[in-house]
Amino acid sequence: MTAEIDTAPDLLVVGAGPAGLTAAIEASRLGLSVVLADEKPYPGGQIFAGAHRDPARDGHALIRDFLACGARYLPRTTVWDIRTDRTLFLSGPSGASRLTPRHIILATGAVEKPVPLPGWTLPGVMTAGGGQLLLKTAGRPPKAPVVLAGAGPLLQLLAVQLAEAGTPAAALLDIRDRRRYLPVLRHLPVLAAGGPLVKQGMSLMLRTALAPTPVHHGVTRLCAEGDNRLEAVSFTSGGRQQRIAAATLLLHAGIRPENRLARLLRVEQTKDLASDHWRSVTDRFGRSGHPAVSLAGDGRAILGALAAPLTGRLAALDVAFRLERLSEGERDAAARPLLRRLAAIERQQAFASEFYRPPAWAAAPADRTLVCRCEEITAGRIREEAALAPAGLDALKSRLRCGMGRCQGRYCETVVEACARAAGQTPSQMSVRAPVKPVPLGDIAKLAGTTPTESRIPVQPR
Amino acid sequence: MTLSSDVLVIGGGIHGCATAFHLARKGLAVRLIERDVTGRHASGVNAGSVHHIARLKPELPLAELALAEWPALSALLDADTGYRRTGHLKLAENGEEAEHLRHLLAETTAACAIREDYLDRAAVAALEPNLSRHCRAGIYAPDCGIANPALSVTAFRRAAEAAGATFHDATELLGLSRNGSLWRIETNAGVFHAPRIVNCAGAWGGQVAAMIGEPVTLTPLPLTMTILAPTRPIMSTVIATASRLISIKQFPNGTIAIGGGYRGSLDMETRRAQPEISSLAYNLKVAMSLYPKFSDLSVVRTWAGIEGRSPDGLPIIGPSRLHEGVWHAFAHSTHGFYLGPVTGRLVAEGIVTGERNSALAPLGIERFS
Repeated sequence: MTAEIDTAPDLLVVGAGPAGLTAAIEASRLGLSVVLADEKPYPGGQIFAGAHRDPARDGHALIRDFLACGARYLPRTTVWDIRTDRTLFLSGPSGASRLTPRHIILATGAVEKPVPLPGWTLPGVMTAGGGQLLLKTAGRPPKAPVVLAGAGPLLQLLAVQLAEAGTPAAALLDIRDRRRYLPVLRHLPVLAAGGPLVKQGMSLMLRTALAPTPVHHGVTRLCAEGDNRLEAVSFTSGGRQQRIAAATLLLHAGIRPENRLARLLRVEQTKDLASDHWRSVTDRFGRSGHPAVSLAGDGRAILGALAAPLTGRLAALDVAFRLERLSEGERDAAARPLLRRLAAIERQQAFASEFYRPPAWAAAPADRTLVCRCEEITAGRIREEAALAPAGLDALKSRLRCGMGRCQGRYCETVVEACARAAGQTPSQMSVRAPVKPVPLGDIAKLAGTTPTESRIPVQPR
Repeated sequence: MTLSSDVLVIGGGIHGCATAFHLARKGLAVRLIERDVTGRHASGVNAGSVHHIARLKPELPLAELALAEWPALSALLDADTGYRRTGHLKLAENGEEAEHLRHLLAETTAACAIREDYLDRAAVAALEPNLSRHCRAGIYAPDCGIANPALSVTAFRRAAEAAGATFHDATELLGLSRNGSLWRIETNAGVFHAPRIVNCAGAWGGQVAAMIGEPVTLTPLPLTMTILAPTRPIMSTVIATASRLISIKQFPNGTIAIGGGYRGSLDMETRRAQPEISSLAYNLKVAMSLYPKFSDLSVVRTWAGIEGRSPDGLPIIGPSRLHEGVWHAFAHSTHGFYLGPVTGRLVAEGIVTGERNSALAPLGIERFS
């Protein structure tokens, strides 16, 4: 990192999705010095990936405003360690560096929940989000025939996007069972009240109905088949076993917050019961139990792209208050309309979480299914070992090595947890250790300071 | 509820689990209490080195016995410990160090039967072709190796349970008192009774010893480890150097572990340790100076574990000097992992026969009174 970088800015924002960008813009507007670090080469996160290039796309204006707001932007930069004294360690194109801002906003977005099924490690099987990213950034569709499978609005959206691009998917396999319509009745007042999410959902349903993608419901016994790569997808639906030729299988079972940095700081986590995933505990502004750390966007709670600018602004207002640029009254007055809109989205999202919730079996695969792909450990092996002492996911991990490969549990930890729970263990998470993403050894080595006293071993002839 | 046994072992690291195993095999009723879960601390999170690390003279006779325990351990416990005989190489980076290594080798040879060979520059390069060329000599100990810490502790635990021992996780020692020949062990999960106890409490062993009138002040050390993502085979033996703290090894699955004893930071209240980045970075810098190819490899995980260092840097193993029926096996001062299996065997033997093995003579707690 070059010398001109302010190593103690008022605010460091991690993540350049809509939440992070909005937080940076708002904080800059309020007079704070802001640094924003993001892993990708361009701003926009997942949802606005590629929007920096295309004025017609949603998010383009937000990106333009961010680039003009005066915040220091660090692209291709990973934040890999965070300490309770607010020191963060980053790695980017010019190597590794450390930063100690006065406040931190983690806007790290979401990750897809894996859908482990027999054959999911075959080339040609990927996450729906991964497939969509290809479509957005490379501009070309995945190799046909494409099968979409799982649960979640992303699948419908992808079906529509593929059809509108002229390359419709061969099938959409919806693994939710028919009881999914029960939440509709319970949430009728919320749906009747309307709102942006409801509008989005209705629009999506309409576009899906118009798209020529065959949909199968109540799908079970999903398998990816093939020798060296994906060749077909077999499943059961409506009592019949079926098989569809496929070169690409896009899987989706919802998303969960990317919260490793918060967990590294031991920010309290809670199980979101509706969606069955962990998220950080925060107040309404996104402030965590650590007074200098706030969260925003999907990284705080899965509420989607419409909520992200709201939680980004709320976090920034709160930081400005904490750093004495705003009075409490000014903060609260600005926050009031944002909180109202956020509450409406939360109510709608509560419905969506239930409506799109995958059945329990999606997270608890058959014994022979590979769960830890880095170390090649099956669900059956995990269940077997999880039934033995000592208990706890860390102990399980250290015996089986699931979560100790290159991904450090990023892809498998939710499934490992589900298998462990099936074997009788209480819900818990694996401990997170730095670096939260892999970092070149040479980068870290450059952070060496004075020679530690313990490093010299006395050498004298005896 | 009163829980009684012939022996109560305090601490579920490798020493406690190994002691429990050997005692149970001899037919004694054994209970082990562990405050967290077995293998949670140093025994489960160390570098997995099986070699006479510090080459401290008083420890060498025990070291020789310790190394001999490992090759047959997986068979004895009917479980994989991950042990591999990789050898250990201590390198000289200049002439003065080369001379020093010659003396070290002579000392080791005089004190025990652990085999060490002096290697010149060519022999070092032949053994480790990817090592930086500035390394000009080394001591190679072919009977040293590596093992998997978590698997080894678990293997001892399960074998001990199979032999009849009972383990109590999440059980914290609150008090120790004696009623005649019976010890009363108070914990958060009830009261235990046993005529004999073994203090295997690692970095906390000094506190346990204090409870029975034999305090020893230990220095808790938060020691740092770094793991690199699996990569093609770069090295075949475990590496150390004469004058710079470093330890590097590559496991069969390709991951590389770097450590040696660099210190992080520690909170003894919460029993949590973490690396200090500046010190960790220095550790990696030293590693890179030996294997320049490391520069592009990815660090995937770092952590720090809690070790207990005794005042003289040697383990405290042997009978209590005050109480019959009490044995200590703690404060292994960074060389506890490889000593675990033999310690368990010798402590169990000592408890049953009442006699201390001569290899343990220099390591008794009486040296601190």
